[in-house]
Amino acid sequence: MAKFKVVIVGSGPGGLGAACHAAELDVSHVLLESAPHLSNTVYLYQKGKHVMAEPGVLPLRSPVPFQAGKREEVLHGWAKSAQDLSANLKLSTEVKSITGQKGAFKLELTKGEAVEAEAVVLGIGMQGNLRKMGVPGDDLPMVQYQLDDPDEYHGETILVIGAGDAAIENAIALSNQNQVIIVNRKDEFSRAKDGNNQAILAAIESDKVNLDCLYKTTPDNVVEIGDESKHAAAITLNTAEGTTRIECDRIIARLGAIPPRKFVESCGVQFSSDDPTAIPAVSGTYESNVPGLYIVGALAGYPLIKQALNQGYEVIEYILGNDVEPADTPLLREKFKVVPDRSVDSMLDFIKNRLRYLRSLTALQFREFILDSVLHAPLPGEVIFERNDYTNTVFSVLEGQVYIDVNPEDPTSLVTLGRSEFFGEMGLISGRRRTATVTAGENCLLVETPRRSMLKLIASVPQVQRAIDETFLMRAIQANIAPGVEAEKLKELVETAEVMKFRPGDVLFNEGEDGDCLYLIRSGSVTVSRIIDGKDVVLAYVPAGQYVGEMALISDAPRSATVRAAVAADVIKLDGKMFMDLLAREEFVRNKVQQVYETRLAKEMAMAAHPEAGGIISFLMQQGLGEATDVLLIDESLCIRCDFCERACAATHGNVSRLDREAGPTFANVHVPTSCRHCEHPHCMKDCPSDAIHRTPNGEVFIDDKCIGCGNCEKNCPYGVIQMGIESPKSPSLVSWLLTGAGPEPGDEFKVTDKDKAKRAVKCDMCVDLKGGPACVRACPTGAAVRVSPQDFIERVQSD
Amino acid sequence: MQESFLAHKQYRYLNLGLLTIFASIVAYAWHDPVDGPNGGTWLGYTLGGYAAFLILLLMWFGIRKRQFSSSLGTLRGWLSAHVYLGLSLIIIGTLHTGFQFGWNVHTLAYALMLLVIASGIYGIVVYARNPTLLTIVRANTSPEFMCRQIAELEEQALEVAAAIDDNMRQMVSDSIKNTRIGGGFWQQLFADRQQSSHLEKSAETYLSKQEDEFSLDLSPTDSLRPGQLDLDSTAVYMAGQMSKTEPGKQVLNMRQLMDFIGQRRSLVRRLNKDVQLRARMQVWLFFHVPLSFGLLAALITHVIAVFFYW
Repeated sequence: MAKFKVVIVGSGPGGLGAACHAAELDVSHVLLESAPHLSNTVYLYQKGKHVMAEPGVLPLRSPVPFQAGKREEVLHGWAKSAQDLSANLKLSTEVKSITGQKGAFKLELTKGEAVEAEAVVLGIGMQGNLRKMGVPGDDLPMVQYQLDDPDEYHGETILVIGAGDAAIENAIALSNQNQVIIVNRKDEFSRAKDGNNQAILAAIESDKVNLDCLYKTTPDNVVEIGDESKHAAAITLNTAEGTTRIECDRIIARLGAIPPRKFVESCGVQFSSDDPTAIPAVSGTYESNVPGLYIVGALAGYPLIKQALNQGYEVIEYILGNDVEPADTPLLREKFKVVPDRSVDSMLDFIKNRLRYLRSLTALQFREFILDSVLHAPLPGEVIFERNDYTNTVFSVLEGQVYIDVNPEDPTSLVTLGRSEFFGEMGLISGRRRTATVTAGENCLLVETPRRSMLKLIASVPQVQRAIDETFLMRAIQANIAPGVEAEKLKELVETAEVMKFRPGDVLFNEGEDGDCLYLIRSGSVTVSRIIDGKDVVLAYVPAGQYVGEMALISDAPRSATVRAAVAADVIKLDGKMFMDLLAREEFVRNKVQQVYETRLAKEMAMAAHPEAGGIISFLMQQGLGEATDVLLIDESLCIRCDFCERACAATHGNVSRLDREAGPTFANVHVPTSCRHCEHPHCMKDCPSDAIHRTPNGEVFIDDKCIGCGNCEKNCPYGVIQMGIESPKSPSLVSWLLTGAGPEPGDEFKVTDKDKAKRAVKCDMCVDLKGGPACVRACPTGAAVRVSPQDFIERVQSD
Repeated sequence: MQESFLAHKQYRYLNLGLLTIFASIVAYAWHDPVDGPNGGTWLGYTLGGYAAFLILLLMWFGIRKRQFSSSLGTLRGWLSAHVYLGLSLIIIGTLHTGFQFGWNVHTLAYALMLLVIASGIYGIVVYARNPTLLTIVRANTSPEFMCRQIAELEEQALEVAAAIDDNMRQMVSDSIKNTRIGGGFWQQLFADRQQSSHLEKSAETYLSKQEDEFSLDLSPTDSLRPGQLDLDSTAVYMAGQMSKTEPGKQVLNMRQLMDFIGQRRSLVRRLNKDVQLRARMQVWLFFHVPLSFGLLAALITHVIAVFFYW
């Protein structure tokens, strides 16, 4: 059995960096890669994609070259350097298991071979291996598990196996030039996005599209067939009626990927939580809880190429017992400049000591947290954020104090937060505007952490999640139900709190049920409806930060209405008796709740008299506006269909319009065109590898220049408002169009055909850079277009 | 739901228009020049100057509406001003003439101005009426969807017709071929006046009546040639088909065919209505804009002429 000092699993930037540095130092090593080529994740990027080299300030210390450029150039550079340094590569080799301990690891490979190693470096990324069919013949050359360019094939009979979005999109694209059969294990396409589901059903139904579907069918085996047949292969399928054999030219199985977690856990590595985004805990030297087993790259929480390349270099040094300063130390030094005369290590210790909720972070997680964060030393009286801002970073106090002005009606009622405390979690969790204005006190030193890093921590470190949740709960109750009541007096009530998750349409409680609790909406929103004349009429919409269910408690009667989640919602359930006790004790709170109760009652009575207004609200909720903060609506009784909104959008945004007026549904006169709604928790932000999507203090969600055109946001947006396009720097000239009629008119969209330019995601940015607000609204000649928050709009509907 | 351009800022420009009209009328009534009211008095020059300024301002609308980055007011405000100040020109322009008309370039400018305003009034009317009508006609579908549905219904109708007999298939296919959606300039404007084919009329009559009632008062004939059918004979032909020997299956087919044709007809109507409503919202601009440029030319000539021959 071959024996090495280091075995590296995975040839992404982390693994390749390690292999090349090991080769450079002449350390005995082997790099195992399951794909037939290096760096599979980057390899799978679309052709000609521009690869970014973020963070720009980080120096590259790896022998592997890397700078921003086209995918092909990057891959070529890496392959060449592996060859030049004679790194020991073993491609098409999958690792089945890793056993043993430091100094004597044994790696079993799928080909029946095995290797031994003193230390193992895992750099297998987060993508996982593509799931294969798992039947005889699933690795024949005509069976493939991905599809780069559907236009490459024509005139073939192709079987597409799978029922997810990838399978559907491939099948439809291929059916333009080929005969396609899609093979679905189930009898429906429920796993797919709505649009894809409808598209595939229409394509199957239509006689004009060369696409058929086999439901409740699974592959049994694939065999190659000889020259006498027209086709290359024959696949046997198990259907509900028995087996059937189909001859075809190509089989494309899109069965998703196997997340690497199971494999990693089988090596003895522990993950920090059950959350799907959780990553294993590693030390400052990238060592996992299994001594001698090191983890680098995305799997260790470092998704950026340059970081991973550096880690590959560093991990070899650490394995050899050398103490190297991590490459990012200069970055930290720069960050800590606001506090003069302190070394990086002492500053890190100081921060970790002060921020108790971060104690359980590993050295590496903590370093990453600080690298993402910003240190501030605000002057006394400086405003840190203002009430109603849409920012969503979290601040932690290292030194000094901050003052929170919680009550807008009484600016003197300030809450003071000191050392070790944090604030800003309300905006983070509810996705809504800041609920208070915060100003700095004397000698204040703060750490500001962006949303993305905070969410990552919450998902992977349970202690951080608990700390944030508990604080949020107390403060949400203080802010929304019992302002001015001290935490001590609310303790009993808070202890009864239970966080519940609801899917869109789920019922919190039904009309007529007994009410024994109060619900405070943590994120998302709910609708209140009642059966009137046998019809369910929506009476109100309640957004995050407010509560429902007080009516039954106060009036001591059954629930007067049904409350449903309008979008996915997190709700805090509070005990009704404890709540009533609180009301009995605190007169101010009682009056406030009573006031809310009366206003709501009056509003609901008014609404019950106008069921058509309820129709508009429930229509808007069906369109997903329950999670919107700002939406473009068109009053069709005024809209002359001139499309100047679209033209204005194109003219002010590089000639690519980000809205489609005609698309989208209409109810009564209210039309909801396809345009960004600036969601509370933007779906598009969920999975942006370059962190290019942000939210301004005013709430606009926009994409900045860091966009690498990966298309994740386009896929993640459930409302289809993001497109991939190329903005053109040139604009049509109004003067020349007006005088000569030549060339395009201002507002015309034109396609840039420059192949060197990469497509980037474009979406509504609410015209952040323009004076006077969104161009679409200002360009509407009749006043039909309006951008409003759904809450304001509904209030307008209710009062009409 | 929304404040329309007509009501912009609580009728700011309507009020401004009325105010200037009122002021002009008062001044005109009070002013008593020796040689009678005309464009050459100080009031005449004031009114004329103001009217010319308004015309230039109103024509600037065409430029402003394409300056998408401009933050000089909203386009709704501009349109509101365009409408009300434009209408006020009727009075102000007329007072400027001092009611002196003749066959000259001055009166030409005046006449062109009135024509521009008249076409504009048509524009206001369609902008106020047609949007709501369009929403109703669309009934939450798109024209593309309606076209697809029509194509599907045609396919189905042809299939069922073929199952009845060749004559029937021929009739349905003729009827489909003769349907027009959209079309040229006039056809779009009067798209709703398209004639139904005999077959379609029969289908509609049929669908509006009970089927037994329909077939009772007609006797079966099957010697007719479909190409030369008039309304009655088509109905007769179909009724004949329905009461023929194979009552069960054939009547079922017939009923289905009538359903398809009737549905298709109503979709085609809706689609044509949609085309018409949109065409009528646009057509007036083909007069309004060129006439405005004509007016501008006449206006410049008028001003130059006045100053040259002072």
